[in-house]
Amino acid sequence: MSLCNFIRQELEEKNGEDKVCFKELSKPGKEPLFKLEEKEMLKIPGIEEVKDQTPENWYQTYNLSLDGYSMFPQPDTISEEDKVEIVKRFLNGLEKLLNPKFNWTFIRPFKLSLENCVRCNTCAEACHLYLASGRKEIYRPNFRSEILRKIYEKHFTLTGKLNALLGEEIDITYDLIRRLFELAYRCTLCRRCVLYCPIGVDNGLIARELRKLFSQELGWAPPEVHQKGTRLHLKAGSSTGMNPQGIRDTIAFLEEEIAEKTGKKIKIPVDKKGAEYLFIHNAGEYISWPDHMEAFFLLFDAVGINYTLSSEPLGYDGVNYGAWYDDVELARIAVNHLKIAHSLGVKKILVGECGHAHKVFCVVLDRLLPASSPLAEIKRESCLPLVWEIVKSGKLKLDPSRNDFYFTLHDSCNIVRLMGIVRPQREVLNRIVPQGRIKEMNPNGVKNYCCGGGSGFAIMGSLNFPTFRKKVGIKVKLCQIMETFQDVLKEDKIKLVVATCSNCKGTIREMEHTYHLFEKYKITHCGLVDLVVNAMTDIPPFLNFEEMI
Amino acid sequence: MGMVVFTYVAFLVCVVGIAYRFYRFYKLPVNIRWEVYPVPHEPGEKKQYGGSYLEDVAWYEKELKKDHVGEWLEPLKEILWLERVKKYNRYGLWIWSFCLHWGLWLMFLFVVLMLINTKIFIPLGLIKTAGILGYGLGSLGVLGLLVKRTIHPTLKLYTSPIDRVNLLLLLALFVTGFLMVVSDEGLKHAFFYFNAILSFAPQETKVKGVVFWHFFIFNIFILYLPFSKFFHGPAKYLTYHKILWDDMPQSKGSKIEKLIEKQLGYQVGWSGPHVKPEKTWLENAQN
Ligand code: HEM
Ligand code: SF4
Ligand code: SF4
Repeated sequence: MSLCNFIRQELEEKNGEDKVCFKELSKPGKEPLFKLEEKEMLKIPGIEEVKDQTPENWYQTYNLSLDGYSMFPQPDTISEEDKVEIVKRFLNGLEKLLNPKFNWTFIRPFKLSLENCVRCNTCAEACHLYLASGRKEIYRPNFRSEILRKIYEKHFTLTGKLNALLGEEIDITYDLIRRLFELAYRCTLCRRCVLYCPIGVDNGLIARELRKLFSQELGWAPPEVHQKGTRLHLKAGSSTGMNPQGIRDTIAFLEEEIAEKTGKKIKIPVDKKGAEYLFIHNAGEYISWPDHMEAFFLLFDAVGINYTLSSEPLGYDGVNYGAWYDDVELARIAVNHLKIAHSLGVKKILVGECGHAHKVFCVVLDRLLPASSPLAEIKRESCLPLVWEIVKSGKLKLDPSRNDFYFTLHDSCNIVRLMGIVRPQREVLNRIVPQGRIKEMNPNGVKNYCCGGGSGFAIMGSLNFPTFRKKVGIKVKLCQIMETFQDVLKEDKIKLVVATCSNCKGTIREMEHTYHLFEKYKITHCGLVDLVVNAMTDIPPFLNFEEMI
Repeated sequence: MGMVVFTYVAFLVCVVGIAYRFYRFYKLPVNIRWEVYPVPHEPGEKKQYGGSYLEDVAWYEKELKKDHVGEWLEPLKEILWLERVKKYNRYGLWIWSFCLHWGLWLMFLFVVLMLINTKIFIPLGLIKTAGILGYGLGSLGVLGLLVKRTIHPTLKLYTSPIDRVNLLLLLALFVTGFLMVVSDEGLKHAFFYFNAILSFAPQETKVKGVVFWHFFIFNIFILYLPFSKFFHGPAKYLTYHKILWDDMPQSKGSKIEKLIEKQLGYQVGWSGPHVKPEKTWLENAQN
């Protein structure tokens, strides 16, 4: 039986006593509403479960009252008065989400999604977190939305008042709000559930609106996303903390490394005025996957792409964590990126293999400025069609047999489902690897499952959130990977999960480390351009996975 | 007499109500693009596998093609077949929901046929079949849903008191309609009623019994529709065509451009520590 059928059939919803209902979220105190039991969760043959080693005292110090996990490392010692104040501020925030001026960016879809759900629960089956948890009620896409809906209806609509008259009420307390905050971060914003909804309700959007409310009004957000994310990005120039000198040094180092590896002396253009493209990637790549960056530079050099990098603060880090939780921060980073491109006099921005950066540059930015503003004149495009164009053009001599591995392609939700870039990466892969080596996951393309790292999950490392991610977040994707390679698992050949997104790669790397995928099965990950360059016959083979692990 | 006037009022409120809700939607600021693929107006193969114009190098230099027929065919799968409920819903809702919705469509067909029949003859058998099928299926569907939503623990959790009231209203609507169409006497009275409505002759109808109750409830139903959960039917147009499938890039001089320009001048208003609430969106974005 296939593993994905396993997800569908073996994990049944619990309908007994332990079903968490909406009212329970208002339960006073810090005791978690339930505990995730291993025996009820998605089990994957050949994978040994990680242990939950949460220190006892965290349950008192912090607030783990939702499910025993938290991403918010702020000690929770709030006085009764402050609790009342927080409730008030939350309701203020909700009012602002419904205010056309304060939330012009998303009020249309938000109101539609809030008002039109028929509660058929068709969306539940779509959600990787819900499935991996063993269909636990609180992870259902619609559960979080329903709570917000109840609060909204109670305060703003006739329906809510009628429901209250008929005996249904939800208590809006600090405990409810604190749990709801946590719940806003039990969704990776992959928006797979949208594809399942007959009405077009967007539960992913509701989760993001909730995150916005907490950040924009209460200043609450996971530290990796806010203080060490957008704040650091805007202040230091990169959410990695890398400053302009750092990037210049890194580039010099990469040039040396390229020369050492390939014998090619190439000059990586930095701050070159008037180039066709400003190439911008997730700066984390320079640190975690420098060879991936080298591959891009080698490729561009080989076919003479007229591009430049920027060493301006922000100009060398294309991420925009605002996409996950805060419209103000989103706009700030996006506009800064455009300003840098404009001052360099480039015509276009070319986005590297980073999913959320793709979506921000190519889709979200489209309506962040009026089309006639000089900044909006700068076109923004994905690197994937360009890479396909290069491979297709025949300008490179490519030897597929150099990529002597098995492959599967992990689709980044942002690039595929949310942008419709599905084919170019497949065409490229098909051309550069030996015949019969690619196995598609099931499902794939626009129906892919999230890797479990979406919307900041990949970088959120506070308290015991990583344990949640390992136990639940990454499980469905891991299950799919194992299933896809199941016929060749025992073979002593490297199996590559190709991902065109930094956060996806980071998440797959976590799977490898946590569940010893390389040692046991020789499963590892890789970007797309890396493989193109590895197939180029005028330089020595470029990838060495044994060394990289 | 009261009944016919009530009908006019209910119909008017329904039309104006739906128009008002659409108007309110269109008056809201235009949102940031937020599409989800597959988008069914993408031409050719793309709509099947979920591709977009962003798959092409320099897409902005080409003319964007749109398959309008595709965009209008796709929703029919849901309206006529509830495809996603059928494929993915594990609570056995599909069959009942299918009956309920076809009950509604056939009931509307029945009403339209009755209206036409006042001017152009339509065979009685046809009208009766639409009525019996519609009201019959509708009753069955609502009953099924009521039972499901009462006994299934998950569905019960997601059913609020007002949802039950709505279903009971529909049940009353369908059952009275059914009783009306199965008796020739009922149908005859219904003819008088529709005649009176179309000839603006309120004095000519004397509906009573089940016919009275049916049209009374029918009027309440349409009067209530724009302000209730029943609005999800019309709302589906907005969620799909105006949000999830809206992948049109902004162009210079367009209406959207003017809106964006205006919206960037709105005050931000949020109070988080990193936000400047009194400044505009544009000012906030610039630092
Ligand atoms: C545009 C087409 C429509 C679609 C795709 C649609 C779809 C759905 C779906 C998926 C459900 C939830 C499943 C269920 O609980 O049975 C539902 C429920 C419902 N729909 Fe529709 N609907 C449409 C139009 C309408 C219209 C025009 C009405 C009435 C005016 C209507 C009345 C209802 C009612 C009353 C329910 C609640 C059933 C329940 O509580 O279980 N629908 N609809
Ligand atoms: S979000 Fe859509 S699929 Fe989910 S319960 Fe609501 S209407 Fe049904
Ligand atoms: S957006 Fe993705 S993670 Fe979030 S509820 Fe929907 S399916 Fe689940």
